[in-house]
Amino acid sequence: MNSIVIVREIWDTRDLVGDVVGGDGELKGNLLTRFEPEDLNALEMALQIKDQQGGKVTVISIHPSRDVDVLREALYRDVDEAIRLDDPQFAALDTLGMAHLFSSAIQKVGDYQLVLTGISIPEGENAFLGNQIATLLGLPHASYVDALEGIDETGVTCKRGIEGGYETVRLPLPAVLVVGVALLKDDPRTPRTAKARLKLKHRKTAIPTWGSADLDASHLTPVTTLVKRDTVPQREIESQSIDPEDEAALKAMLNEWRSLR
Amino acid sequence: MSDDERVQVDVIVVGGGPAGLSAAYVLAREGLDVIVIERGETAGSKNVSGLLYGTVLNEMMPGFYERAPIERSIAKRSIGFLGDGVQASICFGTDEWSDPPYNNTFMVYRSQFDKWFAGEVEEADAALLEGMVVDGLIYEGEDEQRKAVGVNIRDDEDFYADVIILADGANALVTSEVFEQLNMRRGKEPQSYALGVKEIIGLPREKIEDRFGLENNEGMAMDLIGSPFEGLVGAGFIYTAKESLAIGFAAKVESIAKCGRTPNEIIDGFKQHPQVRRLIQGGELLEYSAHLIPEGGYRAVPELIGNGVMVVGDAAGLVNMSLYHEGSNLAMASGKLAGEVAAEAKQKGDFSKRTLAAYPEKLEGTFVMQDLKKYQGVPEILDHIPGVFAEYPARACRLLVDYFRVSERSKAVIQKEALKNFLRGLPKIQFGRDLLRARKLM
Ligand SMILES: Cc1cc2nc3c(=O)[nH]c(=O)nc-3n(C[C@H](O)[C@H](O)[C@H](O)COP(=O)(O)OP(=O)(O)OC[C@H]3O[C@@H](n4cnc5c(N)ncnc54)[C@H](O)[C@@H]3O)c2cc1C
Repeated sequence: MNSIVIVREIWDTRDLVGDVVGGDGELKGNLLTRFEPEDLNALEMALQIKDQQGGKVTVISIHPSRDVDVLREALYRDVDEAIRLDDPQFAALDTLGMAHLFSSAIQKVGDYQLVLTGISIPEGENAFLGNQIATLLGLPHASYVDALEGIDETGVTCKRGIEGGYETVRLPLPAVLVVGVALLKDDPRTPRTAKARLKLKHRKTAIPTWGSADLDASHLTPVTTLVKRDTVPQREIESQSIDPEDEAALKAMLNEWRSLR
Repeated sequence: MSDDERVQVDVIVVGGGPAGLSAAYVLAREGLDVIVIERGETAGSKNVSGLLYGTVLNEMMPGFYERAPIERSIAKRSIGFLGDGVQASICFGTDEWSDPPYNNTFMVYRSQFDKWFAGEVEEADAALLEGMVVDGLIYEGEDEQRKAVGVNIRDDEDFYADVIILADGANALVTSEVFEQLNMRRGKEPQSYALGVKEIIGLPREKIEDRFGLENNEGMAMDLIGSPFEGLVGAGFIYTAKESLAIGFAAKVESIAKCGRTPNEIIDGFKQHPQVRRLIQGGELLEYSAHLIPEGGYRAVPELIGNGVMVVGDAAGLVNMSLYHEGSNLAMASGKLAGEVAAEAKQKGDFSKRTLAAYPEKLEGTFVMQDLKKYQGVPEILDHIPGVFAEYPARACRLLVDYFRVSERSKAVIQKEALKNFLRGLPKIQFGRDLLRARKLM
């Protein structure tokens, strides 16, 4: 059972205080990046299939790494092959353009039963990459997949999140699965961490790069372009602290509330 | 290394801060097989400090400041006193500080600087394993022969090495267990700690340069004592970065607990002092962090070696908490030296405590131990003159303000009154004694 997983590097906004996007629409601060957590879930699913049934896991990413090289991180988790799509012409792609490129790369890798990717909420609120890849490849797909219930030559059964619960669906192979949001910490499906031995082994492993000459480059002009970006100003809350023992102050506060109503 | 052979290298370094990275850099350059294990997702990701002193780094990587992510080189310094509504400061610098090597004093953000340093260490061919925690060491033998032979990596396999360099910083959980296991001598006095708290406040570059009187990439380092630190054994700082300021304080942990204010309240009070407020005005809080600093000084420095281990940097308590508050330089000096000694041990094929003893012996001859020795009385002095961080500075400010008060009274009267105000309520003998003691902080 061979899988191809699309993995992405996204801004790590977890420790930031205050506005992340400046008035000019540029990202502010000393922003670092992290492995898209849903992509990590998708990778874990592929690795579990490999652990149980054997086969190959290939990961594909796009653009040079900013600080967390998700492809190398995937090698540290024992994938068999990592491929980077990189070319100056790939700089300003929209989601559809990316889906075309990834589809072309997936076809070039060939011999696969599953394509997996995360739903990617944090960057651009854009959950369509996986679905568009499925459409372009003419494959069945399921999104918001939380768990695999079973997989064999005839198809894959997976549990997907729906409003208020789950539904279990079955798809023929090959199929595209778009994996849901990050799992709880103690979930048995929690993504594995990198292994020290694999870090030593792969710290210098060369990662092949495929450019426009290697892929179908006929959809590199973005259909959707960014016109502008606005930030929603954060609401200023002025807090006051009042000594609970101080009756006069409490009364004054109540009066102030009344006058506001 | 085949897939089932155990991982055995020359040296494992626990902790990828300035101390551990310096050791690894030296070792890798000497051609040894070295692994650095760092808990942070990336080296430096959770590390906190103010200034970086670069003499040792410049020896290892001449001209490093041309390549490293430095926010600003420090061209001006000041020592300021804050009182209630009054202030005084001395600001100093020389044109030389604006030219290489910039008085070896730099403002860096550790998340970027350590990452760059780690990159150089990898470039030198050390293996850097980030996001991995060492839970403890592996030992062999009994009694005198007992030695460390490897490390347990959390949720992962054990790795083995001839020498383990312990550079796990102020919190030093790993180091502290090794002391028990190898029966290493603790310092004469128990280690004590300061809590360092820092905020990063974003401000446009022009505002920073105007407010602090800076040009280009020049930076300013201000150390401040006085009323915001009432009741604390501690002081504040403001350092300029490119488009942000680092503002914070470091104070003895016990004094924070005793003063009845939370670290947050202390830093807020500091930021609200009128002199400070106008420097940070309009800025936006970008980050908040806190970290321990060992401050027991010379008398708390433990035995630095055991069979198969060497301790470097903050893990060994190598921090000069005098007026200079230097930690980064001492960390790098000790790391570098430990690296050199480990490389010699490799050549001899002998990693016993006896061979490793060259590390503490040589360290004794460097500024690291000499400075720590010179200032060995500092922790005690600070404990005994509680007034040094708040009351005296506030009084000194008041003295200056009173002294320069313009009025139609004669200068003789004004001066006499200023002095009288200064001394009011001050026990003379104690003041004299404190003054003598405080001299030793310089
Ligand atoms: C607020 C503040 C201001 C300061 N200002 C200055 C200043 O102006 N000038 C100055 O010179 N110094 C200053 N210092 C001190 C300086 O930061 C330290 O002396 C210096 O960082 C020590 O380096 P180190 O490598 O020994 O330790 P650290 O920099 O603390 O590095 C230790 C590393 O070990 C890692 N680690 C710990 N445990 C484990 C484990 N079990 N497994 C794997 N990795 C582990 C940590 O993640 C960390 O990266 C300041 C400190 C603070 C907190």
